[in-house]
Amino acid sequence: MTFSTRNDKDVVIVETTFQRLDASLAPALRAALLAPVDAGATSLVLDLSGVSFVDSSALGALIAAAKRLAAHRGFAVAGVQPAVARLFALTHMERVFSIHPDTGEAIARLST
Amino acid sequence: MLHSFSIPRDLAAISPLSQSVTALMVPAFDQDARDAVDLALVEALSNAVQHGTKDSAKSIGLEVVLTETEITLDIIDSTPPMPLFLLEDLDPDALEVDPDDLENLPETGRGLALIVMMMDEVAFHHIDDQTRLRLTRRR
Repeated sequence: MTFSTRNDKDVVIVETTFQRLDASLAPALRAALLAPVDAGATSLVLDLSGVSFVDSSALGALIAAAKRLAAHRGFAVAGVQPAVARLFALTHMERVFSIHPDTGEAIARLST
Repeated sequence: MLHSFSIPRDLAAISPLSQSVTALMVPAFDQDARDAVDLALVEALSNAVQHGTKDSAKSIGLEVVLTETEITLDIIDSTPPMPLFLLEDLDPDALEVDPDDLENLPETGRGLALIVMMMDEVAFHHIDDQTRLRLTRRR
């Protein structure tokens, strides 16, 4: 179980094998998202296609990434499952980062 | 039916417990209700671990009463999972976002608002030296 990154053009995609992102994993998630930003990335996609649960602590890590990339509008999430989509809707995250059905669309959005 | 659980003060222990509880809700409760209980329970237990006593020897109890129409979860701790005034003074705008001011968007502080939104009732009960945060969700 881990976080990993890959590149597609100028976009960094963060992937995870964890199915639930909760407070126990929030520090590792935050580190996985911010490490590419610290290295100079301006476009970042978090692939949530295998994630069925996100809590408010993990959400905080996503917000941290969105804030760091706000100047570039460079943070997106992809592959959001129903329970996670509901959390994003309740917390108005569509105003914080862009939300896409899959990484391909997210990459296309950030590459334009 | 009453189900009793106990977990150590360890964030990694929370999700497995919550998944055990939501498994009990099948088939009486639909997926939306199970997801709501999952999120509220994880948020409440995380609060208890992060903001409760630092005495790692004191475990956190959970009593679940499940009927055909509602589920009641009592999170039992020696200290309140969160200060009572937070529940009484919950900011209705706690989940609002100003997209023009992301710089000042908080990264934390949404847990209690989410618990209240997911549950039909949220209340504190003090019994002897225990504090119980009672969460109730109806079908």
